[in-house]
Amino acid sequence: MDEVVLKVKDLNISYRTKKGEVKAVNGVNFEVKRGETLAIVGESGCGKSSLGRGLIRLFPRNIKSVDGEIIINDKNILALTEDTFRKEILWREISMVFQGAMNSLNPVLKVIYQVAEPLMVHYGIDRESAFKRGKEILSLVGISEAFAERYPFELSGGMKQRAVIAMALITNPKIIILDEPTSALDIITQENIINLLKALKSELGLSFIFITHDIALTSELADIMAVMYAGEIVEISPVEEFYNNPSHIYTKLLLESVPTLKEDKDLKSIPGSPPSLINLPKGCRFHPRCPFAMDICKTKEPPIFRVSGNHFAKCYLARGDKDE
Amino acid sequence: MEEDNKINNEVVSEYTLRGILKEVLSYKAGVASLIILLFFLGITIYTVVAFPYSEAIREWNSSSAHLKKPRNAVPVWWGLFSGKNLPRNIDVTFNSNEGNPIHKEFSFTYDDFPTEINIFFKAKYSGDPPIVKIYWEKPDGERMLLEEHTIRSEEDTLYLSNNFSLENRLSTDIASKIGKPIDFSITVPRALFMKYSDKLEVLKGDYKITLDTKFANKNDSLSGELVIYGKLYGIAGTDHLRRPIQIALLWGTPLDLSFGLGASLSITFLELIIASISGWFGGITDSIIQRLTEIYMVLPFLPIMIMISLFYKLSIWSLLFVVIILSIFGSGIKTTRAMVLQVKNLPYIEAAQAYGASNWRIIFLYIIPKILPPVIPNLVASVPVYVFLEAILALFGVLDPTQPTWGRVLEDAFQNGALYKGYVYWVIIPSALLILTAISFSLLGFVLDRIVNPKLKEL
Amino acid sequence: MNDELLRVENLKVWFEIRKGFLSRPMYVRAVEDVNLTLNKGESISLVGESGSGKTTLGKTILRLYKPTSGKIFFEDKDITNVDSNNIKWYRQATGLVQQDPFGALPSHFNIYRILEEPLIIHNLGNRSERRELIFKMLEEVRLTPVEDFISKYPHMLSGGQMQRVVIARALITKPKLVVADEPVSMLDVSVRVEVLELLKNLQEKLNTSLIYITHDLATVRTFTHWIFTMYAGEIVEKALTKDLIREPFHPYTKALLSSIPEPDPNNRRIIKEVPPGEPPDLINPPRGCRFAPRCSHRMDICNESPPEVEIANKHWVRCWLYKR
Repeated sequence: MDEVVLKVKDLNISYRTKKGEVKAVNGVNFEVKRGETLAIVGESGCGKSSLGRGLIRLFPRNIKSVDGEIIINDKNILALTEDTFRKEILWREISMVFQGAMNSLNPVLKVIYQVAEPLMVHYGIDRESAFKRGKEILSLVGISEAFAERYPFELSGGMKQRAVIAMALITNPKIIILDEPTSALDIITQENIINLLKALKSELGLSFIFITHDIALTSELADIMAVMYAGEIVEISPVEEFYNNPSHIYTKLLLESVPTLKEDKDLKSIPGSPPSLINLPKGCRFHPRCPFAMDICKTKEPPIFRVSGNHFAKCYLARGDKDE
Repeated sequence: MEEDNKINNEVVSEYTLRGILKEVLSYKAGVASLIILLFFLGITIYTVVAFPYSEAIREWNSSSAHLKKPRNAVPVWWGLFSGKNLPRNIDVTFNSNEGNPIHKEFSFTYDDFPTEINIFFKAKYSGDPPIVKIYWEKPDGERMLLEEHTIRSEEDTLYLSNNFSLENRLSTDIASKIGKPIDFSITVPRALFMKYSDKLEVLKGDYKITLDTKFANKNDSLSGELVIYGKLYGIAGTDHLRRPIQIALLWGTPLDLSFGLGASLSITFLELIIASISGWFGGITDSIIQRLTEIYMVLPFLPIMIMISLFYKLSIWSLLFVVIILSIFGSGIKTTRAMVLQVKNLPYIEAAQAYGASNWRIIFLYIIPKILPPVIPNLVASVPVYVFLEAILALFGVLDPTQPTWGRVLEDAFQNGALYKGYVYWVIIPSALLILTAISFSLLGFVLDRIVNPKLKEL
Repeated sequence: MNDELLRVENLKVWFEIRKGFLSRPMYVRAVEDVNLTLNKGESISLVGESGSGKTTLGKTILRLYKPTSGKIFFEDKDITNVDSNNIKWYRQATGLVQQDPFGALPSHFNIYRILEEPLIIHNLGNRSERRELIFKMLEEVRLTPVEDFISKYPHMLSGGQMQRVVIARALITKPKLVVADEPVSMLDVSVRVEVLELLKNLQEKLNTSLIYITHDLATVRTFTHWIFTMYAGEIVEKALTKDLIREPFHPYTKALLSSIPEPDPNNRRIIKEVPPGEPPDLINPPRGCRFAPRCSHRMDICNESPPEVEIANKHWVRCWLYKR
C-alpha cells in the first residue's frame, strides 16, 4: 500500500537551558508509508531521541518551542488539544518503545498487567478481556503464558524487551517508534528481537520508525534510511541506494568508521566532536569536521539536493541536481 | 551515554568557590543569609578588637565593675517605645580641692524618676574621718538636708535610695506637704525629684547638691561621684547585677557561633571519616560501627548532659568537646555511609585499586572528596542546632556561669523572673539573635542544597 | 627463552550469595575451568556476551577478584593467593582500561592529578620527573597541546578524550599486561576506531600484552593475535583471529559471527537462523556443555562437559562435535 501514515513537515523543537536555547530538531521533513520502516541514524547529541519523543508529543519540562506539523490521519497532531491527542492518537495510531525500556517496567506489577494496561486505560476495556488480548500479544512476541504471570525481575533482558514491544503493539497502532530497542541486549538476543520485528512488519503491516546509532543494524529493517546530524536530517535515501551511494560527506565518513567483519577495510574515525546545539556553526553544521569543506560550506547553509529519485542530501558535494 | 554526561557537566562546573558564591547570590534567600552572616562577622570583629576577651571576662564576672550602672535598665532604643523621656544616668563628680562646701548643679528634664541615687566617696584622712552634710536643692528653691554622714572608710558608698530612715522622713514630710490623699508610694528618688501634687510628676529643672564637709585635719580631702541611676542603658540594657547585657551579647556572638561552627565542622568531618571507614571496609568493622551508632542513637542526649553537669560545670570549650563525642556516632553516619556505599561501586574506585591505591588513600582522596559536596549544606544548616543547644544547656544550668554567652543571658533572665518582672528585652534580644542565627544558616544551607542537588533545582 | 607472561590454569571464580543469615550459600559460577597462556607483547581478544564471564575473568587476572580455585602465574610467580600487602608490584605491572570513561575518572581531580596518582603511589620519580612522564604520556595519546589539558577536569572533555586519559593512566607505569574491558562500547561510533587504533599502537610500542574484552566481534580485527570466545563462564573456542573469523567451529562462535549486523540492504528480506533462548542462569547452570540447551546440534553426550580439542594448528574447540 502506498498510503502515507505519517508526514512530518518542517519540524523544529527547541529547549530552554541555563546556557541558552538548545535547538534540538531543525527543519525535519519526512514521510512514512504503510508497512514501511524509516531508520533514523545518528550519534549522541544529534537530536534523534528528541525527534522520536516529539513524534508522540513527549516534551521535557524545559521545552521552549515546537513548530511545524506532524500529520497522522490527515490531522496535525501538534495542533490538537492534549485531551484529543491522548484519546485519539496516542497509543492508538502511534506508540513508542523507549530506550532502555526494559528498565522502565514497573517491578511490582505482573507483566500481563502492564501489557494489558494500555487497553484498559485508552479503550476502557474490562480487565478480563484486556488480559486475554494481552496474552495473545505476548505469545505473538514469543512470551509464553507462564511468563506472562511473572514479575519483570523474573524475566531475562530479551524477554523484557519483548514485553515492552507487546505493550506498544497491543492497541494496534499503525506506527511504532523504536528508540534503540536493542542497544542493551547481547547480539544474539538482538538478532532474535530483530527477527521478531521483521515478522511483525510482514504479518501486521506495521510501519516502524527505527532510531539507532548502529548504522549496520538498520539494514536489517529499514526501507528508508535517514541520517541525522546536529538536529537536522542531512541525508535521506531508500536503503538500496544508501550503502552503495552515500552522498553526504558525514554519511560517507560514518560508513567508513564502522568496522565490519567481512571486509578488512581501512577504518577512519571522524575528528572532532558534534557541535553544541546552542552555538551552531554558520553555514553547513558539519563543516568544522569536514575534510572537504569549501568556502561556501562555511558561510551558506546548503540546500537540500536531490541525488536521484527519492534520495536527498544536504551537502554541496552531493551529486545530482539542485532540487527539493 | 554521552548525553547524560553532558547534563552532569553543568553541575560539577560550579564547584569553585567563586562559582558557588555567584550561585548563592543568585538566590534572594542566599543574599539575605549572607547579609545576616556579614552582620555577625562585623559584630565579631568589632568585639574582638574593641573588648579583648580577658577584659570582657573580668568585667562580666566582677561585682565591682558595674556599680555605677543602673540595675535592670532598659535598652536606650527600647525606651523610645514608652513615649516618655526616660532618664539616663547622671554622674556628678566632686572634689574637696575645689573648695568647701562643694556646690554642684545638674539639670533633670526627664519624664520619669531615677531608680537609685548613690554617692561614692573617696576620702583621705589621718585620724578622725570627715563628716559631710549633704544638702539637696530643687529647682523651685526648696532646700533640704538629706544626711549627715560620717565617712566610714577611704572608699565609702552612701546608698541614699536604700536608706529607710531617709525614705520614711521624706515620705511623711512630703505627704503632709501635699495634703491630699495619694495613691503612690514615695521612694527616695521620687521624693527628691517630684512635684508636690497628688499626681506623680517630675519636677524638671536645675538641681543643686551641696556637700559641706568637716575635716578633722587640714590635709584631709574628700572626692567622689554622685550617681543618679537612670532607666536606660546601652543597646541591650543591664541585668540584675548591673552588667550591661551587651557585653554578653557581643561576646556571645563569636563564642556561640564558633561553638556552633566548631561542633558542626568537627562532627561532620569525624562522621565522614567514620562512615567512610565503615562503608569501605565492610565486614566486621562495618558491623561494629553500625551497632555502636545504633546504640548512640538510642541514648538520650540531654539527660546525659545534665548528669555530667551535676559533677562538672562545663566551660564552653569542654562543652564543645563533650557534644562532639556524644554526637559523632549519630544518624549522620547512616546517611553518609549510604553515600559511601554508592560511591564504592563507581568505576574510578575500581581503577584506583587496579593501579595500587591503598585503602586509606582511597578513603581520603577518592571517597571523601566525592561525598563532601552533598554533605556541606547539611553542615551549614546544622550550625544553629548547636548554637541553640548551647542556649538550652545553659538554661539547664549545665554551663559555666563565668562565660558571657547568649545562653548565659537567657539563663540569668529566666532565673531572675525577667518576663514576670517585665524585663522583656532581657529575653527578647538574645532570643532574636538566636533566631537570626538560625534563619541565616538555614537559608544558606537551603540555598547550598539547591545548588549541590540539581534535581531540586527543578522545583 | 621464556616468552610466557601469564599462565592461567583451571581457574574457577564463584561468587557467594546468601539469601539469609542461616540459609545455605549459593554460588554464581561466573568463570569455570579456564586455561590460557599469554606471551609477552601478545594480545587476546576475549569475546562473549553479557554474563559470559569475560569481565570477571579479566578482572580476576588482575587480582581485583580472588580466584575460587585454580592458579594464576605472572612471570612464573604464583599470584593466585597473594594478599593485599604483597601485591603492589603487580599493580604497577598491570593496567586496567574500563568501559565507562566518565565513571573511570575521579571528577574532583584534574587531568594532571589523575595521571600523577599511579606515579605517586609507586614512587616513580620526583616531582619534575613525574611531570615529564605525564607530559610525554599525554602526547602519546595525542591530547595536545598538553598544557591545555593538564588543568582540565574530566567533565570538560569529550568521551573520546576521556577514554584517552584512561588509557594514558593505565599505561603510565609501563605495565606488562593491560586488560581493556569494552574500552569503546560507550563511545560514539565515529570515535571508536581512533581509540582502538591508539590502544593498539601503544601496545605495540611498549610491547605490552593486552587482553581486549568485548562483545562487539567486528572490532576484533584491530588486535591481531588471539581470539577466545566465552560462553556462560567457559572458553569455548581459541584461535588466531584471522583463523577464527575465516572458519569458526563452535556452534556458539558461528552464531555470534552470523549475528553481527552487516550493512547490506538485502538483510531485511532474510530471517537469519539464530539460536533461541538466552544464556543460562549461572547459579544453576546446565550440567555438561552450557550451550547445549540452545544448540541445534545437540547430542546426548552433551550432558557431560566437553573436553578441549585441538582441531587445527593453534585452534582449539570445546565441543563434542569435534571429539573423535
